[in-house]
Order: sequence, then structure tokens, then C-alpha cells
Amino acid sequence: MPDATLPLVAFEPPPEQRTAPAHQFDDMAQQTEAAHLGMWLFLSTEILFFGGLFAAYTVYRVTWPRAFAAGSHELMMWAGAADTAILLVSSFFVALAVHAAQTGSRRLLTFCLLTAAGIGACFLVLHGYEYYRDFAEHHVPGKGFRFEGSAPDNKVQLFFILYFCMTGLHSLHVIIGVAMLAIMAFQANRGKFSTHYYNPVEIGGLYWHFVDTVWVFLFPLFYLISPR
Amino acid sequence: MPTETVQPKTYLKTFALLMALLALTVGANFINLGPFNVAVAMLISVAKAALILLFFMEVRYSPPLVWLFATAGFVWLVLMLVIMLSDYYTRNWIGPDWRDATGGRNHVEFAKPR
Repeated sequence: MPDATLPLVAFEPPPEQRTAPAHQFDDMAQQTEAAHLGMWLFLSTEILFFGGLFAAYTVYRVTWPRAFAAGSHELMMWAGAADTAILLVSSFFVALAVHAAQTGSRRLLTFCLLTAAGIGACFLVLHGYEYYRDFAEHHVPGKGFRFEGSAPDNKVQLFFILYFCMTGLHSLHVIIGVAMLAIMAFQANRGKFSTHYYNPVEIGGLYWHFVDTVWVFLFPLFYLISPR
Repeated sequence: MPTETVQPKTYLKTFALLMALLALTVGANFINLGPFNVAVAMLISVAKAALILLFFMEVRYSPPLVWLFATAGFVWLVLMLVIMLSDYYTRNWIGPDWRDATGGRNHVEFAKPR
């Protein structure tokens, strides 16, 4: 019969004692460098993942510039600008979280991560509202698609296919990022991170800043195609 | 992996600059610059991305190997776009009957750009 007093999960030493690297690394510096390189390698594949969609976008926009301009004018530019601002504020809090982790301020770290996650959720709410408006105006590609403009509506529909694929893939990344930040805020509050060990905060931060960078390109490509 | 601690002041400056660039890119959209609108918008986006990468993602304070990894993805992306567009842009040089030029019954003449 198992001893009820033993914990079921592996024993975790308190943070101040957790200064030793995982057994495959010589020291903490090597472990940190390996973690960062691994994340950057992943982000490189992410750049090319989004890159295929950016390539498709480029070809179709070069081919049908007027239809893309007509489609772009149907989007709410100010909502797109607000999306950008929201993500930039959230990124700022994540950058601050890294600093809080480096200085060992647990409360500030928890606050920054939680705030960043909350602001990221605001992005999802605003973008969800934009999708709702697109749906109500019959701008979702498919049988119900309607477009009352001078441009041919199958070309405008292509614009909206790319719009939903690219912003949808980006929003999926935001959902993952918000969940990640919320979990890290919980862990930070429990005292998982210390000045010796905060790799997850930095690595998670890299991911969140990358998601921000993708949006920085999506915003002008979809909302600001031609002057208003 | 940053080799030094970045001060919150640096983050704040970066953030302020990013918001200013956002205002600039929205403002530029109200001015008709013809074909240069897209160039201005993309230039501002590249500047914003550079700010995020260098300061928020701390590439500026990272060892050369991180620089290499961080730039590699973008270099490959540019290669993909340039090579792909060199195909799409040059198709029109041969004219609307470019398919016949390669699969025609008779001998193939080299088409001149129009």
C-alpha cells in the first residue's frame, strides 16, 4: 500500500535551492543559452509558417490590387489600430515581467504576467467583435458571401479568405499566448521562478513578442491597403 | 540570452516609439501617396518589428549565435518572396500566349519583353 504521506508528484525544491541546471547541462548559463537558441529556432519556423500565407497574399494583391483595396475598405481601420495598440501594451508588460523576474520581485512578476494575459484577452474580444461584424455583413467567404461594390466579388472574396486565414491563424497564436501567460502568472504566484531560474518567463516572452510582430505586419496589409 | 539586464526605462522608450510609429502609419493612410503608400506602411512595419526584436526580445543584448538564428528566418522569407515574385512578375513579359511559347507545335522563338 502506498504511503499516503509521500507526495505523488516529484519533489520540487524551494526556489532558492533550485540553482542547479538540468543534468544534461554544465551550468545555468549553458542551459539558458540552449533554451534561447531552441526558442529562436522555433520562431524561425514560425516565420516561414506565416511566410507561406504572406507569399500567397503578395501574389494575389499584386494581381488584383483594386479588389484588395475594395475589400480593405470594408474592414474597421480604427479597430485594427486598437488591436495593434492592445498588443503593444501587452508586449510591454511581458518585457517588464522579464525585468521583474531578473530582480526577483515575485509580486511585480505575477502582476505583469496577469495584466499581459488580460490585455491579450481584450485583443481576442475586440477581434471576435470584428469577426461578428464581418459575419453580419456577409463578408465571410462561402455561399453567403455578398459584396456590393464596383470590384468583382469573387476577387474580393479571395481577399476575405486570406483575411480570415491569416488573422485566424494569428488569433490562434494569441489564444495559446494568453493561456501560457495565465499559467505562468499562476506559477509565478506559487513561487516557481527565482533570480536563478526564470527561463520560462523569457522564452514565453519571446513567443508573445513574436505574435505581436506578426500583427505589426498584418495590420497595414489588411486594414491600410489604400488611402481613405 | 541577454548578457546584461535591460532597464525598464529602455522598455518604456521602446514602447513610446512603437506607439508613435503606430500613429504615424495610421496617419500616413489619410494621405494619398499613390504607389508609395504601401512602401511607407511596410517601412514603418519593418521599423516596428526591428524595435520589438532588438529591445523587447533583447536580441541587441544577445550573443552572435542568437543574432544568426533571429535573422535566418527573415532571410529565408525574403528569399522565398523574391524568387516567387521573379516568376509572377516576368510572366507578362512573354505576353498572354506564354503557354504556347513552351508547348507549341512548331519551333520555340525567344519572346521579347513587351
